[in-house]
Amino acid sequence: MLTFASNMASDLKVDCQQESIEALTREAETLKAKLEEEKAKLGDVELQVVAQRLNNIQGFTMKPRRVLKGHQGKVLCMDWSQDKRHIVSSSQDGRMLVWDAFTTNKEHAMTMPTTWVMACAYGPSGTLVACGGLDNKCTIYPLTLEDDPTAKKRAIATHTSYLSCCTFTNSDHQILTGSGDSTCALWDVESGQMIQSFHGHMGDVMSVDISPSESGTTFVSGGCDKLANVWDMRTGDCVQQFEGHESDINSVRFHPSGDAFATGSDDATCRLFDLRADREVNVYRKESIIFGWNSVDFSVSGRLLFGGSNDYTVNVWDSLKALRLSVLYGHENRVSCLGVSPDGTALCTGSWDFTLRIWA
Amino acid sequence: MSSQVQALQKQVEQLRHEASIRRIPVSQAIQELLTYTNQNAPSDVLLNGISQSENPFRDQKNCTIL
Repeated sequence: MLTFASNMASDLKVDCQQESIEALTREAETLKAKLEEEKAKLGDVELQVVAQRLNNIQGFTMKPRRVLKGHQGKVLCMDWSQDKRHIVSSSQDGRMLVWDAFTTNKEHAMTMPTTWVMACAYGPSGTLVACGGLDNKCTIYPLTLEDDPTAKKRAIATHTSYLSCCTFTNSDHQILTGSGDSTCALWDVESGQMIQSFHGHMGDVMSVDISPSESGTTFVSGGCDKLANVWDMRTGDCVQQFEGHESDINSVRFHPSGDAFATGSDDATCRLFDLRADREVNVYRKESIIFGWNSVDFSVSGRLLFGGSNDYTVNVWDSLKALRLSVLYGHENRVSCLGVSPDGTALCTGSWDFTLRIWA
Repeated sequence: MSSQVQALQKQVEQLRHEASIRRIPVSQAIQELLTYTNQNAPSDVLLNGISQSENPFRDQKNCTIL
């Protein structure tokens, strides 16, 4: 009798769960339909059509200016110092190098315990750098002239899978990390404490970028679930989610206005998403382009969008007309990372050909 | 089973939140992107080109030993 009763109870429980699953699925469907309808209603024009009346870009003259040689493996990540002169880069060879981009001199070299150092970042003050990768950690190295930076290194963040990206907030005190464990996290650099974690991606997080707007309290992340998520850094909530890509998103970067962001994906397209319209507003693609995009960045006005490709080139797009303006040739393998200098005077690219190049 | 319910609940919560977002028409969003770009284009040296004397990355002069 007792067994019978408990069987009944568990059957009931299963039934209830079944019902709630059905109810929830129905609600999700209704909400999705409502969202689609809402977004379609506001899609009154297309950017490419509006941009047709703009003048074509004239006087574009970027040339290769420097080659930074020193890594003994694929360059995986780079970041500019706020001084617009120094660059940090990390490589599959397990090393992180700090360069003077004007002279091409190497000023610091740090060797990690593991190879594939996939993420590196320059501290806003210019006195420290951070990196990580297959060690699942983010480690800080103070840059001093007297001491060996490795003597004062400090691990401040730990994920349960590889570190794919890291970036400082606008101070040396906090760093945002993204990981193959499908989470992002904000860390206090001093104490190594996690301030906030961000759950919502259903695949490896590949790239993060913090909003350039003055409040600077949101960031965007892109991942192998083909989604770009926008997060509130204070609450940890995912406030917006953008779909459209048909494969992994490798790179996300805010438009300098802070109202939109660009993505680069393995589906051979780059896209522009607007936060306030809450949708995709441009796609950068050509039939002849079949390789994936590893990295994207804007010029200071947002008019130029740079994309680093698996086909060894850097493409320059008119971000408004969605037309390809130029192709930068020089690298002899995949272009894995790129970034425009803080004052917008130069572009740095890193490649699997072991070099970094400066274009201006 | 209960993890499935939890995942669904999370998804519905996310969708409810997204349904409550206030959106602006695409035309307005585009106009603001264009305005920003036009205002900042004059100072965008990668867009306009840079005079060689101002370019910090101009080609280095080789030292000539006489």
